[in-house]
This record gives sequence, C-alpha cells and structure tokens, in this order.
Amino acid sequence: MRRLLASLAVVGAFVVPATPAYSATGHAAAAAANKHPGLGIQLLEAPTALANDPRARLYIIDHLKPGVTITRKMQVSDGTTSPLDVSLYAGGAEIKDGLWSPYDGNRPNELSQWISVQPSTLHLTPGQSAVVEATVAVPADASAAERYAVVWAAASIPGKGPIHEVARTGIRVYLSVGDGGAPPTDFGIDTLSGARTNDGRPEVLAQVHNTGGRAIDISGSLKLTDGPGGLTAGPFPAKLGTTLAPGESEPVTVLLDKSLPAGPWNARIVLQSDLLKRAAKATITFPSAAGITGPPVAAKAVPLDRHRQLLVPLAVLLIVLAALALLLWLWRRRRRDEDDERDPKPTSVVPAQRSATDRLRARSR
Amino acid sequence: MRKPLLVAMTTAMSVGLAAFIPVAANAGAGDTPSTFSLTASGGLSISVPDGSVTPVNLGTASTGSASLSNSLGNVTVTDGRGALDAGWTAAASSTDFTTGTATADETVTKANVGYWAGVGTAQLGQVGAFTPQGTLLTPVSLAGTGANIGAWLGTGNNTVTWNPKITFTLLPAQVAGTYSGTITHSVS
Repeated sequence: MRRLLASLAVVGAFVVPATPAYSATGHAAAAAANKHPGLGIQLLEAPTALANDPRARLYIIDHLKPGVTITRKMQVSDGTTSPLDVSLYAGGAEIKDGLWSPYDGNRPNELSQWISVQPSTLHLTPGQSAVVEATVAVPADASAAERYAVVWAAASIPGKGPIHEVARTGIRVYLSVGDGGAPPTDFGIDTLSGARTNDGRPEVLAQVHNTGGRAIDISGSLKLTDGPGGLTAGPFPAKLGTTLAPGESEPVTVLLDKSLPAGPWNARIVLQSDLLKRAAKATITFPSAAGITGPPVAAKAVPLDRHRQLLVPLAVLLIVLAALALLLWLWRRRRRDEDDERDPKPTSVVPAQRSATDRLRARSR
Repeated sequence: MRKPLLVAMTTAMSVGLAAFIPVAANAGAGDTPSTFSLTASGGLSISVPDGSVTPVNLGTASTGSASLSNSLGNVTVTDGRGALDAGWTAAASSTDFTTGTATADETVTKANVGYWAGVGTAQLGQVGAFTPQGTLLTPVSLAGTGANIGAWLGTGNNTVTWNPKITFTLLPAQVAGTYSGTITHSVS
C-alpha cells in the first residue's frame, strides 16, 4: 500500500501537461496560494539518473555532452492579490565567496544564453498557476566546465506610489559540460580552528576545499570530546548553505554554546554534500578574547565510508564460520553414529530407540 | 538417513548466504523512484509590498538633507521545497531614482541607494537562520549588479519576513520633487 502511494506521488510529480496549461482558479488553488504568498516557482522534473541527489529536486542539475539538448518543466504561480504579467527568462549567476550570487536583471553569461523558456510571458490571475518549459541546448563546441545560471520568473507588482516593485523568483541551474561521465564530486577538510565571535561565542571554522569537478553545498555537524574534565559536547549543526565552486576553498562555521570551556577539545566534524560525506578531527582550543580566530590546526581525515566496506565482509565471514561450525558438529555426530554402528549391538534396535540410547550415552559421558 | 539431512542443511546455508549478498547490494542501490515522492509541495516564492492598496512611499526629506532613510515594507520568502539542505539567497537591485527631466541634480543614482534587510523574522520552530548582508549603518550598496542582501541557511520548509531599510544618499544640490524608481527583489 505504501509503495502504491509512493508511486502515485511520483506519477503526480512527473506527469504534467505537455503544453502550458492553466490550473483552475478554484477554492483549493486560492488556499494553496495563501500558503505560498507572492510569486512562486517550482521545478516539476528531475532526471532519474540523479534520483539520489537531493539537490536535483530543487535545482536543474545535469552533466551534458556538447551538442545535447534537455528540457525541464516548472510551475509558476501567482499567490498575490493582483493579476500579474510574468516574464520568464534565464540570467547568469556565479558562486562568489561561498554564496550563490545571481546577476541583476537578465544580464547573461555563457550558460544563460543556451537556455530558453517557453512561453516567455504569462498572464496569471490571483491563485492561478501555469506550467512552463525551459530548454537547455548545449552548443557542439562548448568547452568542458561547470556553469551556473538561474531560470527566472519576474513580475512587476502593481502599485500607485512612486516606488515600483519587481519580484523575481528563480530556479538555479548547475550545468556541467564534458564528454564521458559526470566529473567527480569530492572535497576535503584541510584545517580546523577555534575562534570566538565578536559577542564572545566560541565557534569552529573548518576550511573546506572543493577538490572535485562539481559545485558542492555543504551541511554537517561537529562534536567535541575529551574536553576539560572529560566533558563531551554536541553535536552542533554547521552553518548550512556554504556553496563552493570547483577548486574553491572556504571556511564552514559551526557556532557553539557560550558556556563551553576553552578546551583543549578533540573536535570531530562530519560534513556532507549530497551523498558524499567527509569527516575530520583535530585538537583545538578556543581563544579567550572575543573576535579572535585561533591558529588553524591541520585536520586528520577520519575514514567514514570504509565502515561499510568492512562490516559487510565481516558479516559474511561470520556466517561462513557459523556454517562451518555447524558442518563440523554434524560431521562429528555422523562419525559418532558410525562408531555406534560398529559397536556390537543388537541390529533389531529401531532408529528412534537408538537415538534415545545415544542421548543417554551422551549424558552419561 | 543422516546424509540427506546434512546435505539439506548445507544447501539451506548456502542459499541463505547467497540471499544475503544480493539483499545487501540492493539496499546500496536504493529504490530510485521513492526519492521523488517527497518533492511535490510548494516551491520558492517571494512577496513584496503591494502598492495597489497603500502606495509604496519612502517618506520625505527637505532639500539640503544628507540622506533619507525609511522602511520599504514587508518582503516575505516562502520556501516549501522541504530540502535537507535548504538554502536560498535573496538579492536586490535598484534603478536610478529620478524626478522631472532626470538631470544630474534630479537623480539619485543607484550607487547612492543603500539596502539593509534587518534581522528578519522566521516562523517559530523553523530550523535555520536568516543572515542579512551589511548593517544598519553600512547598508549594502545597490550600485552593482545583483547585490546579495541576505541568505537563509537551514533545513526543511521555511518562511522569512523582513522589512528592509532603504537609504538614499542625497546631493547638496538635490532638486526638490517626487523621485521614483524601481526596486527588484530576487530569490533563488
């Protein structure tokens, strides 16, 4: 039943009208609009190849060979109280200082020029939504690299005052171009350092280096052990959302509790981007003064994925050993039976009786 | 009599062992479609002050004032995507604000428009934080293209509202008049 529900939901997520279709301005639509006020956009399609990638549900993420064209459907909704004239287009974006930074207006970059949206304008009444389709056509002579853009839905909000307002909401595009498979996603945790914020709260800065060929979005947590008096603290969540372009290195911060003693602590941090996890540990001490960052301590990588590679063979080995032990036991029993058969005994003993005598004999030994 | 039993036991053992390995392998691959069943609910939406009821106005300053600063009204971002690593960045941009025939002294260039989002209000129980860029005294300049003015970093659905403070730096020879321009809020 659960599987059926799941597959129904999946069908719901994937089957969308082929042509831009307007939803009914019913009661339900109005209620939904209240839940998501303003101008909204949502991705309706994700590649099955990236089904395990949580980011692929939010953003257009793909790895394409030069000359390939893909399309993605998305829904645009008007949750305001006014009818809106929505324009749809792609604009350039970049990753700057660990933050996703889209360009202003429709200022293009290389990737945004490969993207077109159909239709490019929509008229939506309050509570109404429509499905649009973005096409990404990678030119045959595109060079191998990862590029960023945003598919925008923008609308001028009606008003009478001197200040005009425009609302824009968009879906990020992370597109990797190159022959062969997708470039690897990988990152390393180089150093850990203890620091204190301007208001005196201790924090840990983990210098993360994107060593792969794709952009990564970091999340994770930190645990402190072996502190003064054997104290243990955490896990504390890492400040999320740090985005790193390939080759970039930025600190990921973990803000801690003000009441924590200065240390030294054994800090162990686990960071994750999509399905990839990395852990590292180092001994750190928090500086006593506010606004100071302590010296970075080289972090020692802690293997994480090796666990599974170790546990599965271990389990198999245990089962094989158990099987061998059972076989050995059976074999010994059989030998004992054969010994019994060689004993001078009346042959008229029926098997049931014989095993009963066996048991008696075994007990008397 | 005993021999068949022994054979049966070994067969059962090896079948059990064989069954164990594919099960472990299947678990690793994961059942692909179920990942998508969580997707459908809401998207990313933004609501900015609606001037159709109350005109959006940033107040009045007398000529010769060095600057004018006022609150724009509530900007709300609603993220219904329910992501584990839920993040969005908000950006703002502005046109030049002009009056009359838009001569130099009838213009407040966008380089002289400052934006500070303020601390922002998240709904109770949400996991994450909204971090505004700049401060009240050192607002983000909207001179460039697409200035980041704040970002939400957290987990799961979230709604954040802020009432930005807009600061206009005025010229000593600024001409009196009603200045108008456009402010764009973007979220992605």
